[in-house]
Amino acid sequence: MKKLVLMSLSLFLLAIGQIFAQTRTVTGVVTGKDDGLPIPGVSVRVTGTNTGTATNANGRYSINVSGDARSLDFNFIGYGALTANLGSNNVLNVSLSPDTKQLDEVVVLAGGLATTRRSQGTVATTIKSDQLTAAKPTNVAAGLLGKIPGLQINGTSGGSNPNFRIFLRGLRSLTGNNEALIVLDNVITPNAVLGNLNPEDIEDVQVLNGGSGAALYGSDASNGVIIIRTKRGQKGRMEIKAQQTFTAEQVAFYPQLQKQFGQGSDGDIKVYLGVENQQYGPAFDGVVREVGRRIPDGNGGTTIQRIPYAANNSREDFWNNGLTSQTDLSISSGDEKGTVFFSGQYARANGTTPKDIYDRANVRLNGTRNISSKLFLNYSLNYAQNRYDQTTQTATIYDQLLESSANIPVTDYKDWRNDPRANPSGYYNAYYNNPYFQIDNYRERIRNDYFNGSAELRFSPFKWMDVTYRPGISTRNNSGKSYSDIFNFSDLARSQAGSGEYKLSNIVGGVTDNFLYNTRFTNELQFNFKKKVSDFDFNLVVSGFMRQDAQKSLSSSISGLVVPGLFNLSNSTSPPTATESNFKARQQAVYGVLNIGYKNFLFVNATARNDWFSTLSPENRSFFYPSVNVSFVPTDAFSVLKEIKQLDNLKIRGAYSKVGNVNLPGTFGAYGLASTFSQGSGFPFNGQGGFTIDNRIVSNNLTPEFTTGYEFGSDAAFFNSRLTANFTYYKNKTYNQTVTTAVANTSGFTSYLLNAAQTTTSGTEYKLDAIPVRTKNFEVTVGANISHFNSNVDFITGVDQINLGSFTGAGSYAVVGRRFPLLTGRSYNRDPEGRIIVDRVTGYPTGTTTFQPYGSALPKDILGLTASATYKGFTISAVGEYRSGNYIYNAAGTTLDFNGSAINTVAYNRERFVIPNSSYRDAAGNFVANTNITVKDGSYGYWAQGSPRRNIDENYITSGAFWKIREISIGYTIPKSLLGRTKVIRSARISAQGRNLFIFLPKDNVYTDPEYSAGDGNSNGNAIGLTSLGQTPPSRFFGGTLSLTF
Amino acid sequence: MKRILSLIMVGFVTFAATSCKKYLDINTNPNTATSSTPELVLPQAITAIASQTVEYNFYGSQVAGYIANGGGVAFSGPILTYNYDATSQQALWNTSYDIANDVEYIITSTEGQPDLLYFNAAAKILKAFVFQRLVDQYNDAPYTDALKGANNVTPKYDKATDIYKSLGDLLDAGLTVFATPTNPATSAAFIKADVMFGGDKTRWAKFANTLKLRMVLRAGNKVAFTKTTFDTAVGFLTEDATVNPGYTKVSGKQNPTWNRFAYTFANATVTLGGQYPPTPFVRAFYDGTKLTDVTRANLVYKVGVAAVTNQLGNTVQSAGRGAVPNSWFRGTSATAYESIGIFKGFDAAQPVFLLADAYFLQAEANVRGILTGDAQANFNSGIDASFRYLNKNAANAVTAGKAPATEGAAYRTANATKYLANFALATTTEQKIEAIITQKYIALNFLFGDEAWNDYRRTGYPVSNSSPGAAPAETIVSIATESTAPDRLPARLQYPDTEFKYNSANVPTIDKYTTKIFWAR
Repeated sequence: MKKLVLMSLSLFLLAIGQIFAQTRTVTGVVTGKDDGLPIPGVSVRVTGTNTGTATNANGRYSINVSGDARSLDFNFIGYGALTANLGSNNVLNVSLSPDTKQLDEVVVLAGGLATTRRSQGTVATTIKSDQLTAAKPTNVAAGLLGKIPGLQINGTSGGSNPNFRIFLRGLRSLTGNNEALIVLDNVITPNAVLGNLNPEDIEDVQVLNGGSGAALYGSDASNGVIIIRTKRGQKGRMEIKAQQTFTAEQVAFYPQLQKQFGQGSDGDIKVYLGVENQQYGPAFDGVVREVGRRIPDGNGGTTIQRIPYAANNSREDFWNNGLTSQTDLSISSGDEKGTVFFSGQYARANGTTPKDIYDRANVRLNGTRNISSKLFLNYSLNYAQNRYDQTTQTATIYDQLLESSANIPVTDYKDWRNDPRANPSGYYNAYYNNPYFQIDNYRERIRNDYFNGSAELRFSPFKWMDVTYRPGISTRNNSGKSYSDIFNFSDLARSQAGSGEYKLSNIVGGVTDNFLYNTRFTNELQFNFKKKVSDFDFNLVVSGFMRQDAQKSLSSSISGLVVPGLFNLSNSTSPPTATESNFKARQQAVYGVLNIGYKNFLFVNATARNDWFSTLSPENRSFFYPSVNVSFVPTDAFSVLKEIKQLDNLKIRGAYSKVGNVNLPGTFGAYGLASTFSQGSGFPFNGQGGFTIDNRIVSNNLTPEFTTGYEFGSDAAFFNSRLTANFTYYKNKTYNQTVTTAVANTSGFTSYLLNAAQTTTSGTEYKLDAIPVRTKNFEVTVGANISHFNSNVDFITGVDQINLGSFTGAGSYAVVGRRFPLLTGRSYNRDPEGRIIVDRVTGYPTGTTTFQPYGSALPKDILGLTASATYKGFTISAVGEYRSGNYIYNAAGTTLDFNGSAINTVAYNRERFVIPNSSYRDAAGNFVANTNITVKDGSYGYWAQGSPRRNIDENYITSGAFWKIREISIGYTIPKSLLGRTKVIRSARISAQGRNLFIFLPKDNVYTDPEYSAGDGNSNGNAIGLTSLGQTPPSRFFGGTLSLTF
Repeated sequence: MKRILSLIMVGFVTFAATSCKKYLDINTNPNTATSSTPELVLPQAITAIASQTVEYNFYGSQVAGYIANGGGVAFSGPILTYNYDATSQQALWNTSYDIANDVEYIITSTEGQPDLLYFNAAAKILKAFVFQRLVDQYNDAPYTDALKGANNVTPKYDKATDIYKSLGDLLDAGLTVFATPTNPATSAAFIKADVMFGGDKTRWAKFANTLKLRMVLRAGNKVAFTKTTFDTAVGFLTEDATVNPGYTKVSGKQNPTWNRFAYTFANATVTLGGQYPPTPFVRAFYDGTKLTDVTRANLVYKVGVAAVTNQLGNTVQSAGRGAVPNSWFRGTSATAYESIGIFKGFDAAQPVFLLADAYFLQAEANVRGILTGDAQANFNSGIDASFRYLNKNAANAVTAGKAPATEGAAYRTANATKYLANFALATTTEQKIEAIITQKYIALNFLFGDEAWNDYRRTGYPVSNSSPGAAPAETIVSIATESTAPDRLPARLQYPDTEFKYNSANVPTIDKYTTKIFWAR
């Protein structure tokens, strides 16, 4: 549609030119490289002359050229300029690449306001559909990785439907929400929607990095905004697009494991033990040994399985290769009265964990309708459902697997129902059950139904005024059932089991059934006034906004089944327990936006907003915040600059904003103001209730937190947009932060909710895109985006640090005067020279009891690189990303050291060794360099123990830096000539793509992909920098796609 | 346009000002209570104290020589090496303040209210109980500044002796209320809420008096209690003090000892219990090595004197292991058991103060001249009370056919040549104290490990050989000890992590091996 609108403009421009009678006529079709479809209204001009024409509605042109003409220039707004050489042929077909860097590109902003890029006083990056879906991600977030400066996306889980945490410009809020606000089709939408949106439906994604660009969106906009527009139908033609993608998923980035020593250990002696999980036994020697205890031999007797004592690969082979099949279909059409876009997607993913299945179906209906000349309707409806059928033990089977020695053929133990070696009663490991059994016995089915709908009814009674009413709804219905069956261990197993072993404790089975709904309504009424007074353009928007969030959940569970295999809440040995929670929060706002443009080169944009929140006390619930930004285009203001041929345009921008944010903990922040009492453990007993004071103190004067900030920068385009660059500096301060600080238990409580902190974040962002090669058939694009952040804690009232999350030892903290989140942990006790102090007798080091800071848990620098090349129908593109400056605590390390599978444990071949760079105190108390005191035991006695090894977190804190090849895709658009004369298929494309393909890690990180951190943005706050084995190992994806347009 | 504009503005302002309030006043919590009453908090506090008894016992039992790690289980260091860090046993501290906060709520919300008199008095006695147990493990602790919520999140530490003195005052105050005959009968609300004594004023008074006796004996001359004499009219406990809010076989509602070490509500074995066997040291008091006590061994241990043992810190595979579900459970499954001894049932009451303990305290007070009376009679009563408790069933009644007093007498006869059992043979004060504390040690076996540990640190009894290489039956010291103290034992627990992190300016510097509790030897 945009193409058509702009066509008239181009035609007008062309009318100025003269047309000379020439010697020959060249004809051709101009198509878009993005979709292969013809582009109407493209300006076609003989290079160096005023001779020109424009393409018609079918993208065709015809131009008379003189004999000395060498080439034609093709120009179209929104596409990169192209100069194509004239050959002897009188037909010259070209395709233009979309270009998002042009100043006059129309962008849609808050409240559906359309503006041009030139008037935006803040940094904004647009990602088009084809960039987003080049590597066919199932999740929108995955498609943004590495492409936008200042954007950091962290996976928080692997698996078939990974979760992501999305930050713009680092962190601001210590314990509150830092995730970017999602605006879908002009309606603010919960982040969960991202994972359930069909990326193929997206027209473009615009990212406003800072609060300055987003003050208008209200609360949470301080975290930046991701504006997603879904596709609309095209006027004037019908298009059907079908696409099929297959994607394989393969476990990558497995921790490095040792394969020299097998199961066993007894104190300091490397004894072989056939039932051990720990791998501190003797070195592998290939000898066939007894493993496990006596099992039935099938003839009424018993036997013991015997396997060779040699390493195998079954721990790695345990994980399946996942397969995702994704089928897309879309239909778009339109006429004078309106347009319609319909799409459907079905995706089925088999995960890397055996038997995990994830299904997703999406249906979208978008449309526009001119009800009358003054009444316009625009709507988008999306229904998505997903279904999981998976094990509940994802968090433990990874661990369980690594509790098996390398000699154990784990993958032989799949058939636990029939094979006595695999059956839990006969499973060799005395301490950890068979992971295949875990997968089968502990399962869950989850269903989620999402519906998002938004509509815009615009009434334009006068030329200078519009009224828009915009209701939106986003709702999720979720239910789930997790269940486990009874398993009774055999008498034979019980009789052989030692104390405390799992085989002594029968599995009683259980069921948990839960329901949840979550609904957000938004309502917005907007008045838009336009007025032009001589050189000034005025645009005023006044709007009223309301939002309601509601959630209800119910959950009931039983433990102890009566009838095996019947997973019903009524089938229980004791009464079911039930929980219920209800939340509702409301928000009201009025806001105004005033845009003033002067001669189309100077723009001032000012916003003002007042919010009212139900979650705050009546005295504090109303708050006001303004913003202003300025954009100036000197290349249009000063003729001197206009003359510079190489410089297409230059824009200078600056902005200041203040954004209020209610950042109370809990669901929607509701009901957070009052301290609570809960029933104590076990209560009620026998009709007698018993209450305990809950552990949180709440300040009685909680107010919103505010982020004030400024940013400035510039955008420039050179050489016909062949080179574009932008730069932004920003600094913002978030004060009055609502934080839950931990307090000493001696106060009677454990946490205190109050306004108590301030942080400052500053940084720079650069983006550079270049098209070094652009010819008729060949084009190369390269881009880089660089961001550097520094989030610092200025102060926290009353305490000097806040724990954002931690494992037993290391944690992610906010510490006054330091970057945050700060990774801290217990380190070695060191002498004044920095040497590790070891015991004079045992040679063992010791750890500090207090936590030492290591450094930022958030990368300081992120570099994204993109490159693409097209040659005729071929396109190849790649995205790489580098992050550095951060540290990560690998909790997996303690587990791996404990069970002896860690590669580190064989650094000294399990022999006694001298701790490098260590010293000891001599009898006189002086520190002496240690060159000869070896650790008492170079095996189990050191590596598996807490005090000398595992409790010293320093051993597991590594650099979090990485280089990643995020995406590579190769596509080929099949030429029309090959499609035959069918005329049915208008365009066909095949592509192969891979995601998360390669990772390069610093040497000390022998564990995992540091991008993954435990928990997601909501459940684990801002505890970044901690990973564990609590998720499936990170994967790489690769696949192929065929798409057809009819 | 101007008119439309102003109209819109007026509209917005009206909208903001009027519709706002009603629309936004929806912040009342529908999920959780935001207020409560002493009537509802007291039963919870008492039950939580009973549950915490299990945790105190679990820690104390390991350090005082009742139980040890089993072979083949990978145990973490500090409990075996005594090299406690700030996370070792930190739940004892944290839970204590959590409970104390509830108790404090009852005290402050009932102060000066005649109809809630007994809630106030009971809460004062409970506060003394909670802090006595805490101070005995940690010595100095926040007390006067503690439990003030937002008014003081970094409470200063009080001297342990000052806390003891104040706890004495709390007990005096509570006792006076319960012991004053002119005070009204307890209310139905108190009777319902009192899951320890069922609203029995006399038993509350006796409990307070006995607790005070424990503290006075322990403090010796180091605390100047406001009142040091004992009200003989009130007397001391005449029954075991036990708590039973209505334990039943439902998730979270089982007897806490049973739930922790025996079976889940769904009848599955709790693996923890089986990871710990008894020690050779404690078994020697039953199997004839030190004393002969087969009858009581058959009440306490699953297989009596045949119980498999291990010395603390011995982690080799071949080391002794616990039985299933544990070495103390007299039975074969969650539904087939004898309902005697330590694991009487999922529905049994949880003891918080044994009658045997009360008698041994009186005996010691007799010896030390704090109470007048016959030390030997109290000593023998203590032994009988121990047999009596162990012979009680889940319904808190002595099992039919059992005669605890007879068993006690038989025990004394069987060990008639030893002053540890035959008090008449103990001639010196030291021997008398040793006999009393040793018998208390036997009576508290795996029930009140913390009290046994306190008494050991105070009196040095039962005798344990601290020399390296001492025979396992003769020593409570872990073979993995890293303690630098002469007795190779820890002196106390480290202050918890939370204090170092959030109250670091106040937390005192201590040495876990050498900084002793104020009453320790």
